[in-house]
Amino acid sequence: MASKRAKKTDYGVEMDMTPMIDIVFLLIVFFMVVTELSVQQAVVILPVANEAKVEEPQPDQVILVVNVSFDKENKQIIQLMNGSPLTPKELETELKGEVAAHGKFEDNPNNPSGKKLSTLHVTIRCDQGADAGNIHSIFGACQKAGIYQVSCSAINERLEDPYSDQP
Amino acid sequence: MARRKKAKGDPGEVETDMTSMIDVVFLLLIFFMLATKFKMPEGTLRSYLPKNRGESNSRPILSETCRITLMNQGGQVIAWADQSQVPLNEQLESDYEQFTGVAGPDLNFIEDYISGMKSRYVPLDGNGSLPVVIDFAKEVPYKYVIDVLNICARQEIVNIAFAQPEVPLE
Repeated sequence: MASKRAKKTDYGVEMDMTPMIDIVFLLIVFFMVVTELSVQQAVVILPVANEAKVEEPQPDQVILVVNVSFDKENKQIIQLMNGSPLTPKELETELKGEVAAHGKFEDNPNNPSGKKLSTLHVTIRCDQGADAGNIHSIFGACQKAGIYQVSCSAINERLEDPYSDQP
Repeated sequence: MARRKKAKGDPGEVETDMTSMIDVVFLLLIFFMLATKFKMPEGTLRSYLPKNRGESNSRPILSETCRITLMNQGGQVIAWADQSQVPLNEQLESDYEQFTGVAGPDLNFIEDYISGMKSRYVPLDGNGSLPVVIDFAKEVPYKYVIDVLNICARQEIVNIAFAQPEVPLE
């Protein structure tokens, strides 16, 4: 390095850019990954509930997310994960398919001879302005599919006005 | 390397000009920094549906059940705690109420009512907690149902039922 500098000019000061470029690339990769994660789920304005607990998923726990949101025509749609809009009847069929694909059941202590219960979890992410009647149909679909572990998503506190960009 | 180049007759060193790459990299960095919206941590209110599809599991309704009714009357959500009507909030509290401009029921009233019922509740079988029934019309915004559930969670009530809709699910 020193000899190189001496070869060119004696007074030139060079800065080694390598660590800076390393860090900048690292930051880019970080932001790229984070950006992709945040658009994976449907845009839902969740209600606020300070009693809602943020839970770390267990390793063997499989969670299905049911989203209830508004589409572009302001119509309420029910989606399983990021799928196409479903009617309650279709949701039931989809959930039954997921239960069969998951294939893990536990005994029903209340009714040992009856249908076994799935170990699947369902999380409902419903827009706070959507009709609460959707919950009836989602609960009904879960129950018919043999899923009994259902949670309702909420955020603990609101940091910014979610309606600020709406007309 | 340098020696080989010199042998070829190239006296200068080969340097890549990094400036343009760094420009582009900074541009990308700034784009992603601005485009990123961090995800809020989402919590859940856990619930367990009746394991027998709700039919044979139904127990006789105890004499003193706390029933919160939510109705939608012309865009306005009206709540009843058993026989007494819940007053409306004097100020628009949540972002949803401010967005719609319609006041919702006073949640402090519901909370006081449930905690009063809970303190008076004597379970018939010695254990068990106050059963709370949330009866909501299907047009009521989901937010109010979660608000009532939140109050129940704060009051440590675990026996919560949603009333059946009038029309069967089929």
